[in-house]
Amino acid sequence: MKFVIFDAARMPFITRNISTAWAAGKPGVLTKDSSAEAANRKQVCLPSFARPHGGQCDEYPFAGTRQGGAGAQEHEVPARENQCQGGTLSTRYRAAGIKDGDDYLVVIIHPDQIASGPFQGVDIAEDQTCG
Amino acid sequence: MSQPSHAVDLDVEVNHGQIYIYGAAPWADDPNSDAVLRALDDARQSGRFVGVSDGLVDLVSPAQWNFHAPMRVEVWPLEPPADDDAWDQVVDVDLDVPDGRVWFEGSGGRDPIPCDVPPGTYRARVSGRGYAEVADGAEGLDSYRLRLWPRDGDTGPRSRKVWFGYER
Repeated sequence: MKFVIFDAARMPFITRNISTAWAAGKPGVLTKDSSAEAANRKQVCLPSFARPHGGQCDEYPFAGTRQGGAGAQEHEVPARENQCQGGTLSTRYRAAGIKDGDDYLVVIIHPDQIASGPFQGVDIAEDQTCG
Repeated sequence: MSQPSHAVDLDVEVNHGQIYIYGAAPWADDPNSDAVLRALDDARQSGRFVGVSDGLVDLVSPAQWNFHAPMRVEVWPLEPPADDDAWDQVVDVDLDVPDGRVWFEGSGGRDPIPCDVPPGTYRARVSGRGYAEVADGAEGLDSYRLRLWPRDGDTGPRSRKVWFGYER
């Protein structure tokens, strides 16, 4: 099984969204599907999504997967984390040879660094780099 | 010289607030390359919000996503005249295009979109606008431009204009 790693030390709120979505029954194995992404993004993280702390909307399962779209869990996250998540997916998809139609397991490392509560406007990441 | 020698209008994809721009993919010889992540770090840590790493340019935008973002690509024989006032963000970087094809790739695993230009070693002026509108929640109002002209040597990135929203 191929996998994509998210580091909670770098993305504490993204990994909080992932881990709480898992707890709510969302899948840990996703299927890359770029062709679904545009349609999925019209169903989640809409402009009406409240961003009271100036962050961005993150969704899980990811919009670029077959499991994304309607019903995905939405959280506000720092823009830096959303950008870091995009770079992580780009890098890992390429390195692991994950192509459209491929399943992969989402993995969180440094789970002790997962944010304990919602984003309140402060980027609390212990490591604010992505690379 | 007030006109580009070559100009193309195309739609590119912004995703996860970024467009990767490159003429030679850093991962061509190293599939494990993390150039996109290091370019993002450079973009943010420098305060330019346009970062570079291993020849790849990471254009960071306040637009989370836009799969039909207008991008104008121009090639000039000399450095083009400044029009920074017409843009929210303007950064000059080096960009090599050895095979005559520039790629625009939305972050998060999107397929790259090609644009053919004359092969060369260029200085590139990366510009974006519509930022305040998209930051306020409007969709599809961001647009971008890449201006290229030949360079003699290598020069570090230079920020000409930073969007005020990044400084808040």
